[in-house]
Order: sequence, then C-alpha cells, then structure tokens
Amino acid sequence: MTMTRRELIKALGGLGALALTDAPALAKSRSKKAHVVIVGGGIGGATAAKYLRLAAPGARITLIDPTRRFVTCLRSNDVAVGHMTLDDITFTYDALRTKYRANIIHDRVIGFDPDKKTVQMDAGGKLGYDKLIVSPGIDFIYGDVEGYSREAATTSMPHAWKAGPQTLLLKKQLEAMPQGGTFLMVSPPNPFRCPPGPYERASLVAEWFQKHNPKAKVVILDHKDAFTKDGPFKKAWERLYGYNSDNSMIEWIPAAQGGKPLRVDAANRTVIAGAGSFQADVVNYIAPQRAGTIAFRMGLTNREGWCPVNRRTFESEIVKDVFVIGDAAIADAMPKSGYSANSQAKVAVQAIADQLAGKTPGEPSMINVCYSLAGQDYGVSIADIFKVVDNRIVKLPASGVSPITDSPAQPLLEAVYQRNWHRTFANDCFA
Amino acid sequence: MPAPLLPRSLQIIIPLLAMLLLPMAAGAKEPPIATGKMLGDTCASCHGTQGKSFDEYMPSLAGIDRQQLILAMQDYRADRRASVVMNRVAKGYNDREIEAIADYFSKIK
Ligand SMILES: Cc1cc2nc3c(=O)[nH]c(=O)nc-3n(C[C@H](O)[C@H](O)[C@H](O)COP(=O)(O)OP(=O)(O)OC[C@H]3O[C@@H](n4cnc5c(N)ncnc54)[C@H](O)[C@@H]3O)c2cc1C
Ligand code: HEC
Repeated sequence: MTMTRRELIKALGGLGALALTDAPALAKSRSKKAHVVIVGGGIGGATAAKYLRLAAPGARITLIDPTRRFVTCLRSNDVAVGHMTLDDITFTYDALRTKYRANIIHDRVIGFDPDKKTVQMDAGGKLGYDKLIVSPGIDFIYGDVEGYSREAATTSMPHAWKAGPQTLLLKKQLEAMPQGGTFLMVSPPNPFRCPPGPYERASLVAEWFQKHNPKAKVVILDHKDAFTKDGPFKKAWERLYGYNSDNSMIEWIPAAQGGKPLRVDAANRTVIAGAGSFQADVVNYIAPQRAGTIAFRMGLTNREGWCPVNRRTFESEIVKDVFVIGDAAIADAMPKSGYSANSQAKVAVQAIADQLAGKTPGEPSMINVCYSLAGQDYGVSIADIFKVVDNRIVKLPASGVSPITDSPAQPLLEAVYQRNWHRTFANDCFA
Repeated sequence: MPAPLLPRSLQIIIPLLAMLLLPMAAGAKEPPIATGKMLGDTCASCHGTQGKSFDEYMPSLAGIDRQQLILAMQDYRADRRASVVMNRVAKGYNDREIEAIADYFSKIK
C-alpha cells in the first residue's frame, strides 16, 4: 500500500502532489531521511541500531559510544573465575557499521538541546536528530556509606559490575587470596543491574574455591531480605556448597540479620554492618546504582535517579522524541538485564518506526530471561513475558522460575543452553 | 490455560475451533495484540534474529511450517512436550498471539 502511495506521489510529480495525500504518507516520505541518533552502544543501543535498520531501511542511523569494542557483562562472572576470557565476551561494531549501515562515532555525549534537537559530543561537536534513543546503562552511587569511594572501587574494593578492567581486577585479587581466606561481597539494594548476578558470582567463586582454595569462604552482606530465584539458588548451594550445614562455603547475611553495610574501611578491606565488622581478603563491593550519568545531564531522570518513560513506547515522559531503554529506564516488573534491554530496544524501534510513518505505535510485547549458573554444570533460569496495562509493565502470571526437581538433567541442560545462549544473544544485538 | 480435551489427531482443527469460540468467551471486544513481528522479535533473542539461528543447539524458526509452530507452542504451553525453558516461555502467549507468530515466522525465507 505504501508503495503505491509513493509511486503515486512520484507519478504526480513530487511536492505539489504531497499536499493531496494524507498525513501518514507525508510522514512516510519524510521517514526516509529521518535521523535517529543512539547514545550508548551497549546491549540496548546496539540492538536498537540493528533493529531500526530492519524496520526502517531508509533511515539515517548514528550510534555514539566512546568504547571501540563492547565487553558484555553477560558471562563476565565466568571470566572472573577463569572459565572464559575477556575476548570471549567482547564484541565489535563492525556488523552494525557494514551490514546495518549505522554511522558509528566513538565519542562521549555530554549534553543536548531538546528544542533544537541536537546532541553535544565531547570532541565531535553537535549532531542533529529527529529521534533520540538513550541507553547509557548504570552508574554507581559512591556516597552511600562512609569510607566507600570511587577510589576504593578501583583499588581495594572492586565492583566488577561493569565488565572489563574491573572484572580482571577482581580475578587478580581472587587468585592472590591466601589459603583459607574470605571473599566478602556486598550485594546492592534494589533496583540494580542483573538481580541474580551477585548470587551467580558467589556461586562460581565458591566452586572455584573448591578447586583452588578449599578452606576459603564466601560471605554475602545483603541490603535485602530476599533475592530473585533465591529458591533454586539456595537449593543449588545446598547441593553443591554445603549451604545450611556447618561446613557451608557460602554464608548469606540478609538485611534483617544485619547485612546492610554501615561503614567501610577501604584500606583494611573491612566492611562494618549491623551484624558486625567483616575483614576480608577480597571485598567485592557492588555499590548502589542509578541511571547512567548522561541521563542526569539530559534531565531525563526522576528523584529516584531513573528515567520515567511511556511504557508502551519507551519515549521519555519528560522530553519528547527521546526514548530511554535498558537499565536506565523505569520498567516496573521488568528487571534490569541485558535481555530486557534487548527487548525494550525492539519496542522503542517499533514505536519510532510507527511514529515516523505517521502511525500510532503498535502494541508492545516484552520478554526477559535471566539465565544464571549456580555452578559450571548447574543452571537456573527465570523466564517472563510482559505486557503493558494502564502504563505499567506487568508480568504475565504463567511463566516463571526453573522448577526445582530431583532430576539432574534440568540444571545440567540449563547450563548447556546458557553457554550457547550467550553467543546467540550477542549476535541478536551486534551481528 | 487448560489442555485441549480433544485427541491429538484432532489438534489441527483446534485453532479453527478456538477462533469460533473466542469472540463468545472474550466478550464483544477482543484486546489488541502485538503484530507477529513484534511478538516474533521476543523469540529472536534465543532463536536468532528473524528466527534464523546461529547455533546448532537452538532450532531455527525461520520458514517453519505454520501448523508445526502452533502445535509445538500449544504442547509446550500445556506441558505435554518435554522442555527446559519453552514450556515457561509458551505460557506467556495466547492462541491469537501464537497464530500471529506462526504467520510471521512461516513467511520468512
Ligand atoms: C556480572 C553481570 C552479569 C550479567 N549477566 C547478565 C545475563 O546473563 N543476562 C542478562 O540479560 N543480563 C546480564 N547482566 C546485565 C546486563 O549487562 C545489563 O542489564 C545490560 O548491559 C544493560 O544494557 P544497557 O544498554 O542498558 O547498558 P550497557 O549495556 O551498559 O550499555 C551502556 C553503554 O552506554 C555507553 N555510554 C554511557 N554514557 C555514555 C555517553 N555519555 N555517551 C556515549 N555513550 C555512553 C557506555 O559506554 C556503554 O557502552 C549482567 C550484569 C552483570 C554486572
Ligand atoms: C529463553 C530462550 C528461548 C526463547 C525466548 C524462546 N525459545 Fe523456543 N526454544 C528454546 C529452546 C532451548 C528450545 C528447545 C526445547 C527446550 O529445551 O525448551 C526451543 C524450542 C522451540 C520450538 C521447537 C522447535 C523444534 O524444531 O522442535 C519452537 C517451535 C519454539 N521454540 C518456538 C519459540 C517461539 C515462537 C518463541 C517466541 C514466542 C520462542 N520459541 C522463544 C529457547 C527459547
């Protein structure tokens, strides 16, 4: 239908005839040259660039990210314990550039002008946009407890919650631990990136200890009293690491038992919490989180530090023609995961393509699957489908967490799928 | 989602029956559903972009027979077919959505 319209316009000789056609056709002819700029080429941004090309073959697409090669946080816990290398989880922008004809600019966005519709880059000047997608991920809140700082995070208390040098720092410290030492983790308050991530990491570290440091222990100080998939995780810990026995390799201290950190002595690798003072050989302090800094600079955040969006389109509720996806966006029942970021990118792309074509954005559909390993051969997962009801993202009741069964096949198969899934997933974003 | 009461051999006509029954069951106006492409994109993160798998472990959905996909999804949803994750995924989609997904993937070359 659009073809015939376009042909008609052409046959009638351009502009004069445009006036005779309806608004959608007019918008469509414009969408050919519409410029969509994407800030952040992580999971959300990369998926958006690729899917936008599939949805709007004629659009101009520019993606801006200072990093030349993207390291996924996904499976970075495997890197920390030496089961994978950083190379295994590093991806380039080559396919986005060549196959999907996105203009990739390696620069940092430092601000924008929503009236003139331009973004300001650090080195590269201004760039105009028709639609802007922002997927900057998270940044950390350093001032939450006395003694913890950005400095501490890069030396004695790595977070390893953005993959790359931080992951390798944690790995190095783990390997340098004395026999029988303690690995202390602080698990952040909600909401944060990758809700099962801390517990997957604790599991893989315990498993690594079984081989390399059998008397060592993992202690988790938690801001929370419950965590995602805690049923299957604790079951796995019982099966694999003696959880709840006298020789448990993992100790989990929830907020109700004084797990919340109150003060930090970074130089002595000590965290003071309600439950006591914990001195450890390695401290993995996963700090509280907020939307990536650029979202604040752009004025896209609310008082809690996250970005309110129209849940059907991911268009900012604060600034028109700006779409926020991924960890930075408020998405209700959807956890902050790469999977969610990928799914939200597809919804934002549909909305943008529809808007550019002069149509009301179509119905969204979203999914999240969080795959985690409780051991190298032991996977647990959560799979949920989401709909939007009254501008809130709700989970459909039927889906859910992997069943706890006595069958050894279920967790083993889940582990096998997960390893393969990472590659398929990264390809859906980057290739 | 109740399991169909019909024997397996009759399952081919279930979608047709469902189409006849749905308007009555759901009342006058049916809630809108997402397009087959939007719904199919939620499968892509496991089965590959446009259902073209990159991976020997993950079955491709591109070009799948329409009816085969519908039956597979119904079986997963009703826990009639062994699976690690698809039984949980399938429970998130209703009959009309599964048909839209089947239309989408079966037409991809
Ligand atoms: C240990 C760990 C394990 C995880 N495992 C999984 C998993 O198994 N499955 C899963 O689904 N999720 C997992 N996650 C979560 C997942 O990594 C994030 O949810 C996901 O990366 C969010 O995508 P995003 O696009 O919002 O942000 P990101 O992927 O972080 O991308 C943000 C990008 O924005 C860029 N950026 C920031 N500021 C600017 C600026 N001013 N200008 C230009 N560019 C900018 C950054 O350089 C970055 O490349 C894990 C996370 C961790 C920490
Ligand atoms: C979390 C990853 C994941 C998602 C999301 C997913 N699948 Fe699957 N799919 C699988 C796996 C794994 C199998 C193999 C069976 C199993 O173990 O569950 C499979 C099997 C199938 C099969 C059987 C194929 C055959 O050849 O027998 C069909 C059909 C299917 N999926 C359709 C879909 C559709 C449609 C969607 C989207 C609505 C979807 N899947 C979403 C992982 C996924």
